[in-house]
Amino acid sequence: MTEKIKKRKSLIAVLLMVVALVSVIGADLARSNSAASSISPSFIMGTLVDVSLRGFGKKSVSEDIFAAMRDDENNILSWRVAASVVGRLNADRSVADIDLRVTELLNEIKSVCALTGGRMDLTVGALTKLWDFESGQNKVPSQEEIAAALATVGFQNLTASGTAAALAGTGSIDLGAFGKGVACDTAWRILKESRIKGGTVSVGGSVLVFGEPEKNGAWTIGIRDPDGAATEVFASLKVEKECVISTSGLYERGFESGGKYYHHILDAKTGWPAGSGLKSVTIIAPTGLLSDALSTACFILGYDESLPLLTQFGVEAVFVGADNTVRVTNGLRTQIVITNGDFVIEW
Amino acid sequence: MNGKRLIQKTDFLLILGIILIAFFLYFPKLLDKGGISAHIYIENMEYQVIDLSRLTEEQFIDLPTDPFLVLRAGPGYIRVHSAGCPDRLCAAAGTLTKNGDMAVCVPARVVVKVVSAGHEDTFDAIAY
Repeated sequence: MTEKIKKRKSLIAVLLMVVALVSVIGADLARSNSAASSISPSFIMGTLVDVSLRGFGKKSVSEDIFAAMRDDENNILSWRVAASVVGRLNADRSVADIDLRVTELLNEIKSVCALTGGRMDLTVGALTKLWDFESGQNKVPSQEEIAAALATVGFQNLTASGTAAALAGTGSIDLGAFGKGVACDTAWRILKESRIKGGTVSVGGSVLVFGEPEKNGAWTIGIRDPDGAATEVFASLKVEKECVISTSGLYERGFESGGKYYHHILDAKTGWPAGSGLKSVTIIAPTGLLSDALSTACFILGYDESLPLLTQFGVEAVFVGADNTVRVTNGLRTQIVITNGDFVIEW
Repeated sequence: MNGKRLIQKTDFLLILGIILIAFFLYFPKLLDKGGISAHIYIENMEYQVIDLSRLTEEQFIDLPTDPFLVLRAGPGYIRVHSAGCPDRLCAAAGTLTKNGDMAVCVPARVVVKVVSAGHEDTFDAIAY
């Protein structure tokens, strides 16, 4: 009998130990899955992709996101890749085997270009190569060179229908102003099919917020200070629903020549850096493509000319003027807090 | 009742075992005093982690990249000291001191990110 009791006690003790161990390990695992954590950042489309997710399988979901973005870059978007849709359109002038998703994408981009009156254009390849802000050559092209490049620009030259697309004229496509947004949408598609609870995906500063916010029922997004270092922000934005937030600013790339600063956002009608007098524009939109495209479009158009575009797409925006005056759309009035006293909101 | 103790020697050993296992599971967390560290990534892989809170003097980190990149780290901070890339946007990130501060060099494919253990992020992300 005593032996039996001893055995039973030992068994209970072992079981308790197992329960304790499982609880400790389980609690640790649950905590690690419920906390947002950043995965090793990745360079895709010539920019940094930073993913921070909560939920089971976040590492493998992140890998899936990186892989899908690389596929988009190599198969569709990059003019540097000869085998991509854009690479083939630029070289062969037509393709006949594209996905309907690509056709829709090209047509959606065209429609945004049309709404800007062609001041933003996807066929600006010759112009962007001429300025070549990425090379660091810091050379201002001549007006003759700009005129020659402008002669090749025209979004109307692109037609896409079904599984075919064609590019008339001599222009070349450069989707630089749209790629980060497309990548956000790709990440979004993968996240919707996963068991991820929530997180953020930043593609070169275009930020997708997905799922449930981790704290206080809202996401807190900083907006970069256009005058400060890359780590400084001038405002904090509360975002309650899934969306993509993109910022275009004159600080990102540019150079000084002859005492004048030339930034990288080009007006496709003049061929010169946009002169809207804005320092930055941030767009909060229901898709990555709209967010990315409209931030550039509105930066080129300026505040007044952007308003019809914002109304048409039902998106929110933050404009920073040359004098640090900040103007926001009505939907953001209670969502934005200025964190740098150098900036003042004009209500 | 029969002169036997309620808890026997073997029970003590088991309890001690549980406590020891729990201790070793959490030992690394106990050591974590909430310091600040710099995570350096090259080509999407973590290359080095520097505990900035333990540094007592400045040190230079010469990264094996093309274009070249030299970092300067000291007590509680790190920054890009010099860079061979054309635009030097990485150096424009300035001195990184807070959780989430980041310097990125696309040509060298380097990311330097500051992480502060136990620190709650001010922002979920930054739009730039």
